[in-house]
Amino acid sequence: MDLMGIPLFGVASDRMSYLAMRHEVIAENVANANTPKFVTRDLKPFSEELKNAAVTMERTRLGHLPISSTAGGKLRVDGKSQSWELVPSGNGVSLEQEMLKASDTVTSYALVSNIYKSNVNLLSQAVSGPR
Amino acid sequence: MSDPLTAAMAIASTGLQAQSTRMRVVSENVANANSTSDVPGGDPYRRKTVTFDAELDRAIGASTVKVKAIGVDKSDFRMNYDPSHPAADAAGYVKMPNVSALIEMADLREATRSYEANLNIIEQARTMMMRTTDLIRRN
Repeated sequence: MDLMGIPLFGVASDRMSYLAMRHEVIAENVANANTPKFVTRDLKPFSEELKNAAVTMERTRLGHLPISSTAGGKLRVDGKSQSWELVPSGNGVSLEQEMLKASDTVTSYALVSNIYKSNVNLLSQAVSGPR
Repeated sequence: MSDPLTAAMAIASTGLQAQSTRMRVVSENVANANSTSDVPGGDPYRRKTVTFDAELDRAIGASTVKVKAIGVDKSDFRMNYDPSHPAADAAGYVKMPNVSALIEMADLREATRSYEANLNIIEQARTMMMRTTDLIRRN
């Protein structure tokens, strides 16, 4: 059985990989918090990624493979994200902003992983019956 | 493509490394705030500076940070009137290092703040990884 075929699992795992990618981008920003001329970057919002993925191809035959919900790891980096400050050295990383984004990522990740888990529990209950 | 969370940790660790180099240079400056020359009219210790540069790490496909160069501050030395000093010139003035304790402390504080931010990122990446591995745990 393809677990990813179930929409909730598909979206949850996409969301998790999106958040992990976003955390990586935030890590880049924080590491370069004192690098001259470094501008802060961020990923495009997840809702936008989902909108793009909503365009799926029609399956006219049973043998056609379904396309997974998002572009499969090819998340786009938004170079022109809004920064809170720009210091004289040309650095546009605000640590406060990055910390806010990072904690947001972690809480969202926790939420999604809990949803994923409870959905697995739901499935296993459906399979094994109530205990 | 490597795992983004592992990559995030690797990136943040380069940040830690860069900031600790900066702290080391600051401590060098502070330690030598009064290091004069031992010959009359000679130049004292010159303040060191650190510059950072973003570097693309091809293995993880993201920009890490590295110390570009440890340079010197070319600003003028402070002149102190102290004729009895061994480094005093003919007019009785001693060249003192161009180190300002205030600037060094501000720099140190900024380095500490950035270091903590990087540490925070590692901690958060670890939490997210634990969340993922917890998915296979039976509750």
